[in-house]
Amino acid sequence: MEVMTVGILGIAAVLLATQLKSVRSEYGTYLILAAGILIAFYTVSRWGTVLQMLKQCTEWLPVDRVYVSTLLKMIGIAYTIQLCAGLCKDAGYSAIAGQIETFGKLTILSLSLPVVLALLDTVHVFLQEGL
Amino acid sequence: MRTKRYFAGIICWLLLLLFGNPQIGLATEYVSQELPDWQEELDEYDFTQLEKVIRELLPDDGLTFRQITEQLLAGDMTAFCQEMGEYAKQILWGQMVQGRQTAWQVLLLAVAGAVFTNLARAFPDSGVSQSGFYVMYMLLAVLLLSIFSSAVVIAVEALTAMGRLMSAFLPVFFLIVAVQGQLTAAAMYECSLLLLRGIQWLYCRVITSGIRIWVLLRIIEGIFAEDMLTHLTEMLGKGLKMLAKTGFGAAVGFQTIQSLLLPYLDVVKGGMLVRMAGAIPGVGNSIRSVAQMALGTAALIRNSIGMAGVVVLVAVSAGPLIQLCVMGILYHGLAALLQPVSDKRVVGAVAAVGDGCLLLMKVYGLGVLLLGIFIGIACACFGQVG
Amino acid sequence: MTISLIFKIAAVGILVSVLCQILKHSGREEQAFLTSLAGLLLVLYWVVPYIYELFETIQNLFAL
Repeated sequence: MEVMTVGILGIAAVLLATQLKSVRSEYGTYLILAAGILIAFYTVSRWGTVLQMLKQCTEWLPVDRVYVSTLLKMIGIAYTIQLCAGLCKDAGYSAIAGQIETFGKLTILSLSLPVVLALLDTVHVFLQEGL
Repeated sequence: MRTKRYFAGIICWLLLLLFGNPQIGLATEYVSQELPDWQEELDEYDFTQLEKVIRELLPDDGLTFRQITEQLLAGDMTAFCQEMGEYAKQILWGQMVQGRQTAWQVLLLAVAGAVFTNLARAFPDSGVSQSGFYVMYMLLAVLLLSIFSSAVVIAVEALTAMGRLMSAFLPVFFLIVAVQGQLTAAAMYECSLLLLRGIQWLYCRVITSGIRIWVLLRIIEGIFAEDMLTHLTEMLGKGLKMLAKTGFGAAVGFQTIQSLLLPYLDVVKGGMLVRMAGAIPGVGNSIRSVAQMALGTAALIRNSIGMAGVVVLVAVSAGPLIQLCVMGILYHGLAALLQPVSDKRVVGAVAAVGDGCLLLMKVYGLGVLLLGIFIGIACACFGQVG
Repeated sequence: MTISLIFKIAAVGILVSVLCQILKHSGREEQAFLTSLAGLLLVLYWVVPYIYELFETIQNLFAL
C-alpha cells in the first residue's frame, strides 16, 4: 500500500535529517526537501484519481465548464502554495513562506471574482423583472 | 331567468375578451333564445369559441365546456368527478415532470458543492476552502434565482389576468346597473367591487415584488458566515404574510360583501367537510375559515350562473395553484434531502425557494378567492337589482 | 524515484561531513569547502529533475 511507503519515507527522512542537522545542517534541509518532493509525487497521483472522478460528475452539472475549471485551479494553487510554504518554513525562513501564502490567497480570491460578477448580473436581472 | 342568461353571456364574453378572442356577437346570441329543452339549449349556445379559449388555457385536451355543462345538467356526478380527477392528475404529473429536471440540477450542484467544500478543507490555512464554498454557493444562487423567477412569472401572469378580468368587468357592470335602476344599492355594490379590484392589484404588484425581494434576501444572507440579514428577512416575511391576510380580511370584511356572503357562510359552517378541516391541529382554524370562504363563494356563484361557472373558475385557476404547490413541496423536500450532506447555508437557500413558492401559492389562492367573491357578488347583485 | 533517494542524500551528507572533518584536520580548509560544494551540487543534480517533473505534473493536472 502506498500509505505505508509514504509513512515510512517521511519517518526515515526525519530521522536522517535530525542526524545530519547536527553535523551539516544544510544537508538536513536538502534531505527534507527531497522527501517532500517524493511525497508530493504520491499525493499528486492521488489527486489525479480524485479529479478524474470529479470531472465525470461535473459533466452532468448545469454549470459552465469555466466555473468547474476555476474551482480546479483553486485547489491546484492551494496545494502548490502549501507545499512550497511548508518547505520554506521547515528550512527556517518563515517570512518567505508567509509571502508565498499571501500571494496564493490573493490569486485564489482573484479567480473567484468572475463568479461574483455572474451572480450580480443574475440578481440585477431578477430584480429588473419585477420592479 | 333572463338576467341569469344575460349575465352568463357576459361572463363568457369577458373570458374570451381577456384571453384574446373577442367575440362580441356571443352575448346577443345568448340573449335572444328561449328554448325549453336543455339539450337544444346547449346546441344553441356556441361553445366552440369558449372551448378554444379553454383549450388554450388548459394544457391537456380532455376537458370541454360543453361536456362539463352536459354532465352537470344531466346530474351525472360520477363521470363529472372522474373527469375532474383526470384533469387534476394530468396537471399534477405534468408539473412534476417539469419540476423534476430543475430540481435534479439543483440537487447535483449542491451535492457536488458539498463534496468540493469538504475536499478543499484538506488545505487548512490557504482560504481555498472558503473561496471554493463561495464559488459553489454563488453558482447555486444563480440557479435557484432563475428557477424562482419562473415560479414568480407563473403567479404574476395569472394574477394579472384575473385583475384584467375584474377591470374589464367593472365598466360593463356600472353600465348595466345604471340602465337597470336602483342606483343607491348599486353604489354599494360598485364600491365593494372596486375594493376587491384594488386588493387584487395590491396582491399582484406589491406583494409579489415583496416576495421576490424576500427570497432574494434569504438567498443572499447565506453568503455571509454570520447572521447578518436574518432579522430583516424575518421581518419582511412576517410583514408580507400579514399584508396578504389583512388585505383579504379588509376586502371580505366590507359591509356589503359581508351581507351578501353571510347567509352562505352560515349554511356552509355546519357542513361536515369544513368541520373535518377544522379538526386538523395547528392550521385547522385558518384552513376552516378559508374553506368556509371558498365554499360560501362557490355556493354564491352556483346560485347565480350555475355550477359550470364555478367549474370553469376552478379549472382555470387550479393550474397555477397546483404548479406552485408542487414546486414549493419539491424544494422543501430537496432541502430536507440536502440537509445531512450540505452546509447549513445551502440548505437555507433551497428552503427559501420552497418558502417563496408556498407564499406565492397562498397569495395566488387568496387572489382566486377574491375573483370568486367578485363574480359571486356581481351575480348576486344582478339577482337583487335586476 | 524511490525511498533510495533519501538514503543516497543521507549517505552523501555523511560522506561530505566526514571528508570535511578530515580535510580540516589536515589543514586544507579550501578543499573542505570545495568538497561540501561538490556534495551540494550532486544532491541538487539528483533532486532538481524531480522538482521539475512534479511541477509539470501539477500544472497539467490542475490546468493552471
